[in-house]
Amino acid sequence: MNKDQVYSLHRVYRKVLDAMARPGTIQSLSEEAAMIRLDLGCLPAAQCLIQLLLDADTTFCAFSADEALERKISQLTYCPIRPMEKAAYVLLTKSVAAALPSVMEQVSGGTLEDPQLGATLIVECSALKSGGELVLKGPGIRDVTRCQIETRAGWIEARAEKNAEFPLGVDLIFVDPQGQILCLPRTTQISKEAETWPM
Amino acid sequence: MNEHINFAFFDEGSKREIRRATLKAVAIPGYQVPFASREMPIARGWGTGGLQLTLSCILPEDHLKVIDQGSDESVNAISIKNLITSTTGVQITQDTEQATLIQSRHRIPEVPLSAGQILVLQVPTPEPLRSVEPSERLTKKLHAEAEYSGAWLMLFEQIMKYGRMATGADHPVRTAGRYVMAPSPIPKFDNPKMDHSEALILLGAGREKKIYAVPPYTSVVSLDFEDAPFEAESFEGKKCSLCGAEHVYLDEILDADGTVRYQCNDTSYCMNRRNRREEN
Repeated sequence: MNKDQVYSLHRVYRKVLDAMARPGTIQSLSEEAAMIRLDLGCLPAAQCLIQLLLDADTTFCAFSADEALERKISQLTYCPIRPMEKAAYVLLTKSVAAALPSVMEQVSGGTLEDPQLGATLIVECSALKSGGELVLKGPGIRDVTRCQIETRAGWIEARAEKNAEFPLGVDLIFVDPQGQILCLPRTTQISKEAETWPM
Repeated sequence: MNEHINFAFFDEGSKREIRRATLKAVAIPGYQVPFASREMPIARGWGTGGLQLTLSCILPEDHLKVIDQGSDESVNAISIKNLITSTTGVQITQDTEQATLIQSRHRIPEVPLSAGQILVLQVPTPEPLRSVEPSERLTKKLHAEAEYSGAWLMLFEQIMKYGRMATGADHPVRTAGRYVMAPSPIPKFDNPKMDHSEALILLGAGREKKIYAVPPYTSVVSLDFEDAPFEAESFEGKKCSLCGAEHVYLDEILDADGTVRYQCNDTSYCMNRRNRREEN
């Protein structure tokens, strides 16, 4: 790993940390994503996250229409592949976005003694926007914050069910093709609401 | 900056381990995430947990402030700063407002923290129930069941013995309404600064191998009883003998002739006030 990559990962981490601490805010990894030369078959920003988080000391699984993706990630990071129920990190590419609710149901939500074993899901979506129909509340948010996540429907209900019993649950990192990321830790409550009330 | 050492001292694998644990800690406020704590070139118990957090997230353009019991210039603070600057080349500052990353032992600065800052606290004993339950396996179970009578009992016994809650520092808090957490040995005076803080607060215990966090705008409530409310140290009627500040955390200083005077514990806060006075 050369010096530029080391600096780049520090920047990626600081942005992910900030995004996780302030759910619903958007951070851009586009500069760091532009430095990536190897095409694994997922979004470059998702690849930044893979290089930030995965190595031989953790586990992952990947869902994609491209079957080679999982093997390529494992070869790049030395991270062992595990079945979805046991993986610490689960990647869903845009091609299988519709599977998010059922994946969410099956991945690990941790245990009451070790809630950190709840999975982190890295999910590719079409677009992330601040402001919008999703109203977020919880730690890291002053009053409420709004955002829009363009992906297939049904995941909000599945997530609410998975995260119903805090501290159990899953943490989500959404990634879009512009290199933006948005985090939804398990503490964030989501409600859907039109931006302005019709008078 | 030493070019023969990797940026921010650690190898990339160590950083990944610390980063994974930290992200989970932020997602589960107040929960102590176990992690593979690294050996450091300073002794355990001297801030290795805080250092690991700082080094894992530092950026070359950061302005770093390191304080030890309110002082920017104590031996511990200087050694930590030397290690960090020699491996990252970051700018050091004493000014709280200018700092983007603050590592601290036993104090939260007097100047309110802002959204662009991260506060890293060094923690010797992360487990608030340790004094009532020596077994780690059992304290993990108590946290799982949110069974915190031990913490309440400890405070109750203090009231029975001393007539008030006698925690000098590290008064336990409840974070986001769920986990009881050790706020690190900050004085009770600083506990309220954690509640709905604008800055992200990361806590690291190197020897005990735990990382935990308080995200911004998160409720942090000091444990107390309806009829024995939480009270921070009071410095009513006292002020700093150097800068005249009131309503700050003061050190009591006994002069050679036996007179008692008070001085700001936060040295950079005190110095800024005196500099400003001189300018005017």
